[in-house]
Amino acid sequence: MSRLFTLAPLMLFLGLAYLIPLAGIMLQSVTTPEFGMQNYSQALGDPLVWSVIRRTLRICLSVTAIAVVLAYALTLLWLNGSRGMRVFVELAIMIPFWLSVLSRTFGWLSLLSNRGLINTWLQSIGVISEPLTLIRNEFGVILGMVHFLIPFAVFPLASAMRDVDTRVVLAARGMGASRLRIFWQIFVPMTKSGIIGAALLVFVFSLGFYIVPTLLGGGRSVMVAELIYLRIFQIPNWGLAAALSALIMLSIGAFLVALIKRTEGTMK
Amino acid sequence: MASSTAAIEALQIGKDYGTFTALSDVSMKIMPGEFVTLLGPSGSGKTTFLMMLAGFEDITRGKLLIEGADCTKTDAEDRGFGMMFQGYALFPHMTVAENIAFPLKVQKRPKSEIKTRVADMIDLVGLTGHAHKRPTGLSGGQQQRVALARALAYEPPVLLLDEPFSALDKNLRGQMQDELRRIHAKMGTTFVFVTHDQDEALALSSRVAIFAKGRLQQMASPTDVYERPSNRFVAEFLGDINILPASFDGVNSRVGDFAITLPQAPSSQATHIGVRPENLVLYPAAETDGLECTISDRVYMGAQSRLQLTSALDDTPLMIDVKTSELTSHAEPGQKIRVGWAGKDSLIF
Amino acid sequence: MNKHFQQDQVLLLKEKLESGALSRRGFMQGLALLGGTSALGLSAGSLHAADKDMVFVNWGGDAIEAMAAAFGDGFSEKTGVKVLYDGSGPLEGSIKAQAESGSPTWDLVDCDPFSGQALGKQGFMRPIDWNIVDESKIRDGFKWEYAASSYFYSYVIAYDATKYDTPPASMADFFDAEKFPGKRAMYKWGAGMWEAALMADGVAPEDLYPLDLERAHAKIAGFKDNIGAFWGGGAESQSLLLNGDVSMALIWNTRASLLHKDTDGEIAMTWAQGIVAPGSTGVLMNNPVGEKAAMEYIAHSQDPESQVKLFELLGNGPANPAADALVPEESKFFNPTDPANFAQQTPLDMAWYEENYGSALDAYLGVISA
Repeated sequence: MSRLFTLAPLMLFLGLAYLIPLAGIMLQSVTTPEFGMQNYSQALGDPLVWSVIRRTLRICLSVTAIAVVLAYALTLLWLNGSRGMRVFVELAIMIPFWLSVLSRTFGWLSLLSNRGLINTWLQSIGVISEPLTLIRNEFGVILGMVHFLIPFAVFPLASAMRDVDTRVVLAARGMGASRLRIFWQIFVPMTKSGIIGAALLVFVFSLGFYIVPTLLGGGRSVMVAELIYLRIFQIPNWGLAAALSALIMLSIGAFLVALIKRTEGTMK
Repeated sequence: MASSTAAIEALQIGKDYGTFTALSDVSMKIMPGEFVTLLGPSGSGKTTFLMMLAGFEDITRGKLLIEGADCTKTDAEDRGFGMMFQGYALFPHMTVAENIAFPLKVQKRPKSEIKTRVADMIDLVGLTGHAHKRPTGLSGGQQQRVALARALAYEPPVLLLDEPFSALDKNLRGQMQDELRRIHAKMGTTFVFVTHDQDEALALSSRVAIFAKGRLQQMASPTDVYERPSNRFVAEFLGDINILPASFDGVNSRVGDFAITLPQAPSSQATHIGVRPENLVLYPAAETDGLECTISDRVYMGAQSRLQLTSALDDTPLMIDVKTSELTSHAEPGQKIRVGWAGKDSLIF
Repeated sequence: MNKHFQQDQVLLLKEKLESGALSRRGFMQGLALLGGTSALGLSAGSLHAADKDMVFVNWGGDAIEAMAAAFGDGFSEKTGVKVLYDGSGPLEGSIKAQAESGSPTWDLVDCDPFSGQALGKQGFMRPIDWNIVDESKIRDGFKWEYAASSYFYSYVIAYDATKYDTPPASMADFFDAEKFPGKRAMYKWGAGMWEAALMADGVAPEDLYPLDLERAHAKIAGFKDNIGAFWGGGAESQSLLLNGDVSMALIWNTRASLLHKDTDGEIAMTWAQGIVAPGSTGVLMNNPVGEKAAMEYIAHSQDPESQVKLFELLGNGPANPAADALVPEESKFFNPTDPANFAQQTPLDMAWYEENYGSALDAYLGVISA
């Protein structure tokens, strides 16, 4: 009871700052400019919306897969490496974490543009004669997003890996299992919750990316967030923007519920 | 394999962590089919020694022979030992059957063999009908049985057990001990069992190895370690004991006025005599021999009662266990009595 | 479109003053993008005007000082009304949010003429009072019911002069990757790009409107492999050329002239077949200081010398034709409305944009992001 009482201000804050505006968006999606589902039918009937959603899913799923795999390796190094390696990995995770997404994105720009460090270096040692197009395409977008999102995947993975009972791994070793078998058949399955958590976090987070695709995508990789921005500010159609936001929110919600149900199912 | 070859032979094994010596000069032979318990208080080095046998800890000094072959540097995965951990260490994402099948799959046994073997093991540990459950759906005792079945499924020559029953409640622990003894007898596997519970050690093993302060203190049969402890630590660690200062002259020794004739002359360093409470004898009231004591407390323990005494000699507290039926109503706190013991029951330190 | 241009001006001054370090430039570029997201005028830039203060909303940063220096300070001296420049960025959506509240805190906005028109027709903007604002000080064809043009800018070809012996002289050259090899950059928000594509495809400038979007998009789609990037902000367009990511780009004249000057013509610009457009000032309905003061501000900003001052600070052309002659001789080449330059260009048709920009941009984004 007292716990509920101390939580009350937080709940109130969440309600005011989050739920009410959210309800406002939902309401606007069916009332602007007039009552009805026309915004939804317009949004779902628009080939641009579908192509943007397809691209967003393609990019976000790739980013999620790559970020989680890399974060997994990084977390292993972080938790099991030598002292020096741990410090190094920690810095590698934390320092970019403190930089804004904007500065990181510009870091990539200066590194990967045609006259950027990488191309200049590759050309100077004679590996390539013409600069490689490393950014201003989907590759650049995925790279920038993966880089930004890896730390978010590391934390759930680290907590799952710390929860793995080392004796279970020792038990498997004692039975003569190879390291590879232990990794794939014991360790990875035992960190499944961390993998799912990390993937969810990265995926949901990636759906809202705006700056990275805008700057590293060369203007071509329009994702959902930018489309909503367009509908709010560029060609104002708030009803449509609200409907788009609501659609994304609902699909993420449905996706999460389905996923939770499924994981619960497999746990039984 | 000739039965004269030890399953495991440790030759002056030691372990250092930096400058800290966790274990020194442990030598022992464990014969095939033995049930050896490593017993000692926490920090005594028993678990370190087990982990070195398993291959999970490097051996700093000394040599380890397995069936006569030097395995000091062999990896855990190549020693072929079974291991049971404190907390079961089951694979949480696998069913009971999958857990038991895992080591068999590692050994690439044929599918049909795995199937029958798994079923046999499940029957052996009494888990018939639970094959498709996950560990989280089982009780502690059942999980323990799965761990045992898994560890024995691939018929390892040696099974190492690291305090496997420490998380179980007392009743369940007794049941599991019986089960373990039964399975040991049936399978003939060499068991090396770590525990800090002396009752468990005495009840289960063919031999007990007692560790303290990083050293092996004594290794002998349960009877021997209890009745003939090699030093005062072992004597005090196993059960209760009264220890009294004594003087020695050949086979004759004295505690105060009480003279005891020992079966054989002790070493010249001997200073004390130890007697188990059950070996003290209450003398009749008229007797003048023995040690004069005052009863300070009387504890009823069913068939037995324990009297807490204070020696008139130097106020040393003593314990004596007597049959409750033999106690007179006079054996009350404050009353003076005399106690004594036989020379054969004297432990010399 | 235009709003991005206006926003971009903010950055120009700052960048001029700095040595042009790439990271810094990059950073400014980011600010430009972020500026666009300061949602609905609720950002920290919002000011609480005192009774008599007038709030002019532009695109923030140094444009505040440039506009104050060119117009605001003089206006305050003359009338006693202090002008506060609020850099929240009057995106169409933001103006709408202000106006819909019924009691806006903004008076004047630096907006697209067609946005002003669209919003005005919905009742969110005041009609321009041509009794106070002087029609004769506005170029023919660049005044509207709800917006008075206040400056000009152009979409022009800028190119890496070190790569080409003959400079590009038309949009056809821009779209000809064989004659002029190298990557191109175009504007992400469409404006000016349809016109460029159609001219390259053989449409005469006077026959551009109404735009044949299908034809324009077909031209762009067919050329897409040669386009290295679609830029969304002026600094981005500038760094694309500077970094060598592209060797020719359709960019704003303000950025092009900066590149031209900074690189001593290594990156050059041409007015040939440029597309010229006005920026305008509009007044919000029910604005706090009232209609009269707001109209007087617009009238005050028509002063030719003030407009030349703005050109010198930000690089955009004066709205008042009388100001062109006052531009110093050595700067005339960079003035989009200088008669010699203006004649080579085609004006954007605001009426067409008012009607069609939304759907055209949707289709354009579909084409470029496909």
